[in-house]
Amino acid sequence: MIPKVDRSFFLSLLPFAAIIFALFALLAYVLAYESRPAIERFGLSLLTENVWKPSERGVEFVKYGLLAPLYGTLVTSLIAAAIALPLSVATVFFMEEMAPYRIREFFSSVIDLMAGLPTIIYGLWGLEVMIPLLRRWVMSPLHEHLDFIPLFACDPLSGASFLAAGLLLAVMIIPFMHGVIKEAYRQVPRTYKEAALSLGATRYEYFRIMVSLIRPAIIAAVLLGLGRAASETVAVALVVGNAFNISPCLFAPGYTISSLIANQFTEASFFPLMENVMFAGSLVLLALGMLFSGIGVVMMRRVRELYGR
Amino acid sequence: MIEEKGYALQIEGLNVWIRGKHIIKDVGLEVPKRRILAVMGPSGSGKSTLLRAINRLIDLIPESKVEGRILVYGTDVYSEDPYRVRRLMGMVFQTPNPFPNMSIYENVAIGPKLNRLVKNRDELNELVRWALEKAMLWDEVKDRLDDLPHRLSGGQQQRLCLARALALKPKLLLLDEPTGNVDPVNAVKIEEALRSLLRDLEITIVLVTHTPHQAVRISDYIAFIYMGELVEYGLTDTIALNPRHELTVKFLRGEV
Repeated sequence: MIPKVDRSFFLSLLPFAAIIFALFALLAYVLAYESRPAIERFGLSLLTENVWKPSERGVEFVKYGLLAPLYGTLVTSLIAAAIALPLSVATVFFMEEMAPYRIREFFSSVIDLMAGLPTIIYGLWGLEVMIPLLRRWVMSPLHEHLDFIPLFACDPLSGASFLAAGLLLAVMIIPFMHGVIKEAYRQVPRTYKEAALSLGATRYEYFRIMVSLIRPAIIAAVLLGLGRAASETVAVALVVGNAFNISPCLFAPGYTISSLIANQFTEASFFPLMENVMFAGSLVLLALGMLFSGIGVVMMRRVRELYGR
Repeated sequence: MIEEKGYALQIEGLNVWIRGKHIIKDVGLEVPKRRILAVMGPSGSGKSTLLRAINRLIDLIPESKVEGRILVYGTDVYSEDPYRVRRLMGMVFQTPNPFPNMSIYENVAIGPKLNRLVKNRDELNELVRWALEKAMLWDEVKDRLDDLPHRLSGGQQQRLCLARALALKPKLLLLDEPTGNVDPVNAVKIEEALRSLLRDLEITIVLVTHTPHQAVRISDYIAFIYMGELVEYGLTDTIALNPRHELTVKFLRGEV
């Protein structure tokens, strides 16, 4: 029971806390409500088919299936996480263990800063700088020499592709994953570090022990990073190519759910059901995001339990 | 020259600075093999730093500086790779710190694995058992080797840490107030374990403690450190019965 003197203060704060939850509930409700016509019409084929046939003539002429953007979302996010994970872990270990204190704090802050930059900056950089370089020095040589591997089998036409989007997303989620892993790393009490070293561990063995000590945080960082990558919108729309395409080839253009919505929402009202399909797409994103964040949060809690501070 | 005398640990003219602060001041001492040296002194007198200078954990502390010479079984600690040096020694810390994500078994096995002391699983099992027996913990954990260590009591965890250190078959065992955070029953067990180690093994022990009773109870030699200076060093009996320095007298009486 809250003491009487504190009660009015408590009550005055309550609405603010309640608003957050109400907003979230409303958001989920609107997404579900707006997706319903599309789900009723297309059912599961909305997720399992790759069709995009808008028509102004009427509901009976349209057909939508989000498989391509769903595929693109997963592929680009996975590429991003796969690149960002080793880089983040390596950077954390290097900065925390090997770099001199002042340098460490400076660069650590720079990386934190990168996490907060407006994402459109990354998009423009990706479009104007990264893609031409990538196409010239990575995609074309790989395609020329290794085109028997399905991943490199297609010609990098414009350079906008799954790979470009994945790489750009990696750049964008590195600061974030780095932050999560760094916080966990700093929570590991020094006594474990001393214990590992006192056993005669080399730097590499010590690194492996430390990684095992923060494994839940690393899993959390990957999941939260995947969630971020999947929801990133404008920057990806600029570099992914925006084509309804399912291809194992990394150099082929594709789509992601977020970039699809960003690109097409303005015109969606001209076509029956298109808006509803996009709401269904964002519902999928919401579900994925909640799943990833949920597991991520549980993992972070495990880190705190282990090293409780 | 001095290497041939058969000392386990020789410290000459050791000075340690941390962030410009003079922590250890010109300490020198020699410990024969198969003895227990107790380093005693009030909190903050530099005992733990001395220990960390011996196995070079001091390297972890930014802006630390070490001068002087430390030999462990003839090996010059500061002219070798730190990890090679540390493999000669085991260390037990003030707070029990078994790795929380590894099972009881793995906690003991990790040292031998890192140092490639064993050729196969059987040898490893044997070594883990041996180390746990030496730490007087085997009977309590033999049926739950796969449990995580947080299920053990604090005293059991500390003995697990002792086993972890022993599994390396160290020639020098360093203990940093190992019973400081442990209940009296476990403290006695740990002291017993240490004594029996000396009987059975080629091992030398350096024990840091802030309780004079423990120092007198189990050591062969006592080094009394005060404010980073070695005030008095000698055989335990001599120091316990005939302390020469006024500070030592006071410390033994519990007045410092």
